[in-house]
Amino acid sequence: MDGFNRGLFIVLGVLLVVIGAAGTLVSLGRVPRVDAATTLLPPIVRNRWHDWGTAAWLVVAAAGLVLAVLAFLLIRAQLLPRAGQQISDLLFGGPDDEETHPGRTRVRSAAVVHSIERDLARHPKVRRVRVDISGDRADPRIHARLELSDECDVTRLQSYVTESLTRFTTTTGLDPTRMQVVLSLTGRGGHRVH
Amino acid sequence: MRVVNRLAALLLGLVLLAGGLLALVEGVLAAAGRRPWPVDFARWYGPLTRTPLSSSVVLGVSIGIGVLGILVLLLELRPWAPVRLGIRRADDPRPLTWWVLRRSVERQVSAACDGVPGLSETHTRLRGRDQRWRLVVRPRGRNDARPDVDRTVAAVLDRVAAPGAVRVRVALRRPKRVA
Repeated sequence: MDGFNRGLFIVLGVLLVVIGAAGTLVSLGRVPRVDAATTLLPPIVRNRWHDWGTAAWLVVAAAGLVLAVLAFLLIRAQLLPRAGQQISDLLFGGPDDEETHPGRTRVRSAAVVHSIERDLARHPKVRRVRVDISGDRADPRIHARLELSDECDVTRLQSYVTESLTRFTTTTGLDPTRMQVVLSLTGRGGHRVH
Repeated sequence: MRVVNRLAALLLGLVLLAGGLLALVEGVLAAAGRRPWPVDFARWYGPLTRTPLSSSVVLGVSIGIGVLGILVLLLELRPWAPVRLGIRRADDPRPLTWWVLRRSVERQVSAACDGVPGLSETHTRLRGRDQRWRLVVRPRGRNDARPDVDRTVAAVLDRVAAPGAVRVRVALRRPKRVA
């Protein structure tokens, strides 16, 4: 979202500069083809507007509707966090497997997420964990955010996370195709940073 | 800047939503031959047909729009501090990527330096991209404390699994005089 917002404001900035520069040059009479004595809404535009009649107002209404929908999407994008599609529940057993494993077991995706969260939180230096698992069973992607307490040795923590991931794969059968771990090191606070 | 951008985008969205709904309502009412609502056309239509392009109002507004555009571009195009930076990878063949939040590393370095006797009020600034880190540490302390700062910073970087080649610059600030 941050990249989109930045791009949006860069485009907006360019538009403002172009409009501002054009308006200034026209107002100062520096554009040969435009008479600075012309009004902001010149007669030729007014006449064209009246020629179109009702259709002109319908175009305005349609443009307003499009603008309102785009604005709503922009507001929604700012307010709702954009998360990937959460992985669906895991199903074990089924028609193909009826003879060897009769019955069917469904493991809720929330339970899968909580299992790895709990395992990671068992590390003594991990204060808070948040895990999102997106994608599907063939292509699971994990995004983990760990808040670590002071003086945590990250290299040791990495070993623990790797072991935890092995346990997760063994238990659930999910072998992540991509995993991102974001660490936040909590300090004693009150220090100046820029 | 990211929070400011998000708030500005929210405000822009609200303004555009209000403008779009206004155009929709006014357009439909006018097409149906009803009286204009909520804004009467005459209030904005009249001045637009009378004001010449050469008027000082048009010039002033145009300059204002241009200046606003330049300000927006300057703020958006200058480099932003990264939210997170890459750290050393664990010895694991799986597709695992590791990141650390920039501010949290800055706080760790500042806290560690302030814990060294004779050093205080450490300012830390971490920049870079992915595995390329540039660190500037500015504690308040005497010049002979530089080896201590170097050791402390190296220890923190090792503890947070910073990538191998971190460009570190230590700039000691003069200690405050005690009255």
